[in-house]
Amino acid sequence: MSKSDRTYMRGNQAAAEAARLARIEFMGAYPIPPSSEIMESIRTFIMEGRLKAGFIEADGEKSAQMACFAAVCSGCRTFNATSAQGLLYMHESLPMMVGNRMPMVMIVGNRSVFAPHGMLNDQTDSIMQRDTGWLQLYCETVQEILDTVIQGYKIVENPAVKIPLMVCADGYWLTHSLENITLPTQKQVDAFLPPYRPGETDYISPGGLSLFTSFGLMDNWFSEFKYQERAAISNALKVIEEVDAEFASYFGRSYSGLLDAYRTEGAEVVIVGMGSIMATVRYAVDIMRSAGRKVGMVKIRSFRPFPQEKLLSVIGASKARMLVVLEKTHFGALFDEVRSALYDLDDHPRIMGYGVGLNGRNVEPYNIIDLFEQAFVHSGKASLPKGSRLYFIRTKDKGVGG
Amino acid sequence: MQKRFREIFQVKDELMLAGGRSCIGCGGGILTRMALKAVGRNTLLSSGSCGTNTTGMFPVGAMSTLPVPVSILGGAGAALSGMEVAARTKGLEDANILGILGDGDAGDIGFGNLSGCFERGHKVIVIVQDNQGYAATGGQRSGTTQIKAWTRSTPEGKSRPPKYLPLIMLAHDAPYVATCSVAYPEDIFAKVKKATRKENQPAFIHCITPCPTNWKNEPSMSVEVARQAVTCGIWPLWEYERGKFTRTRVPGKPTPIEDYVRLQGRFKHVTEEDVEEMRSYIKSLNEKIDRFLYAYSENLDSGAESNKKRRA
Repeated sequence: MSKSDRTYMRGNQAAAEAARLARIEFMGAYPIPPSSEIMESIRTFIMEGRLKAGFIEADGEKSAQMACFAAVCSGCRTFNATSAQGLLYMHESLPMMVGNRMPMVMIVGNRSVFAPHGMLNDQTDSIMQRDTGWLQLYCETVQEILDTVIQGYKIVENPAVKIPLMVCADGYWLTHSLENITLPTQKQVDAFLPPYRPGETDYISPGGLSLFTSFGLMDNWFSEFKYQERAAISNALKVIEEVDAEFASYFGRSYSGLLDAYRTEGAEVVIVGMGSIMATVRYAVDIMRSAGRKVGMVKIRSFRPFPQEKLLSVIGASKARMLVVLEKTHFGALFDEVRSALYDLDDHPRIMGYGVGLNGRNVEPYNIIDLFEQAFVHSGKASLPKGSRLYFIRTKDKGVGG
Repeated sequence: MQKRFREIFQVKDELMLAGGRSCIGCGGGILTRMALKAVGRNTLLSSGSCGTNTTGMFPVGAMSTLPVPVSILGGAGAALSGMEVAARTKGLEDANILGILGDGDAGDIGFGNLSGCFERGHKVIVIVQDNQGYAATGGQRSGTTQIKAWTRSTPEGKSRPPKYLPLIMLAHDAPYVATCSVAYPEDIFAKVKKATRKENQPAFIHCITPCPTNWKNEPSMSVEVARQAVTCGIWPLWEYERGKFTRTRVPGKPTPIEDYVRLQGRFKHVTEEDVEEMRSYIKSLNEKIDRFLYAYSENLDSGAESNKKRRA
């Protein structure tokens, strides 16, 4: 293996570098903070001749995504990047990519959604797209963004999957923070990721036979299309694990596939969450563990498809009495997902959920330790009402109920 | 005229097959057939709106001769841009990138990205199948619905004149803009042929396509309605090709607007005053076209003269 470069990079730069290394053939783009820098970088790569790709700066995110739709139709390895309102604006074209089984990778620089008019990070934008059918992988570090984009193309282009992927990176916390990362060489990436070769009816060409988005109404084939779509999304569970393992054998870095369980053995309280906040939780877990407290964490990397079985085996093995779900939304999507998964466990732990870090509010290690301590208080006693949905938004007074 | 028809008959390749789901008497069928004859097989087609019906339903496709990525409503301009850039990336420089859009898609919900497509100057051909309303959703008004016309959402008749899309697209510095009518298929054929020249792209062709379902005309009279629209002057035929602006059919003495109105149930309610208002719309529209003729004439002074002669 040739020597890789160690370098400092912002998350946006890393995403653009990853797309370049993956030799994308097309980007449809429209700027929106915090992910605008990605399209600027890609455009510069094209100008400098470091990347050969079609590029359209569209007149809106919906147009950008429709241009991507056409590019995937034409058999191009396609890339897009957006955030917040932009992601919501292109929502209409998202399920269409899934129904047509079109592989592509899009970076979502997670940002809060209006109103109030927030500009900073939370994950409401991509969580709102959870039922579009897109796969969603959440990143913890800048290195993980770079690696997930490269892994991403291998996942989505697998014939058993062919479902588009959102690589979700916390806006500003990841997109704008400098990190010392390892930049793989083009040779390494080429060895791992072969060029995209779509199937014979998967792309359009003059005289070729294909019909995308056709009416499924005659004899009503709609359910059959959706059945195949669900099957493909389930296939992704296996493929994400396989690709991560393969990636590790090429690059020596792994993200534990679908989810990362950290110090969960014998943990009484486990925090479940996703994204950059898990780096803070990891640090807090180490502090608590060194003080002899039995805590652990589970980083959900793949929110879609949701790794229910793997989560249950981790939770079941840990003997945790209390789960605390942390998420950067105000409505508890991950909380509901985890809570629903626990139903299959005979002796399941109690579960509480917190909406934290909304619109970029800083969550520090002592906040996490505080949450762990509260969970310990509640885990032993019957102080929490049974049967109610214990989801709270953390506000400035740090009170549980807000 | 006969020579121009012979040109169409020489094209034996029928790209539009049976299996489309258009209504009986749909003008869009004639337009699509003529347009596809003119562009030939080396084409990537995208359609939306009622055009989706024309392409057929899974698993029967009326256009299994051509690849058809159907975009979402209001995304056709962007999808065409993407197809053009991707085709170039894939080495298909000489393929025609053709979009057959409804008037709602082109003029209303998708106008932004059609405008973006023309501003960026993609080498595409956009043909608007203008049935003057949201026909696919059951027949509500659109931006191009004719003045005084009944639709399901203008039960008393539309009060405002339609937005005149061809001139808006001309303002995008498009090298080729034309209007046509399904009553003159040889004209459609000739204009689409011109639009396939790369130096004429992005090309915009706006065609009036009667919709018996919502215009409430006899399906057998669709072509007659499209003809009357031209002869009465409410749908002037013209062409702009790289600085040259011409009326491709000089109306001569216009036929009475009443004849056009009488053919269609959507004008059943119109009063004398309404007809008068339509007449003044026709007058102002034709004056506008004549002003463009004048503005684009080589010698501005003589241009005015020749316009006068043409109108006479």
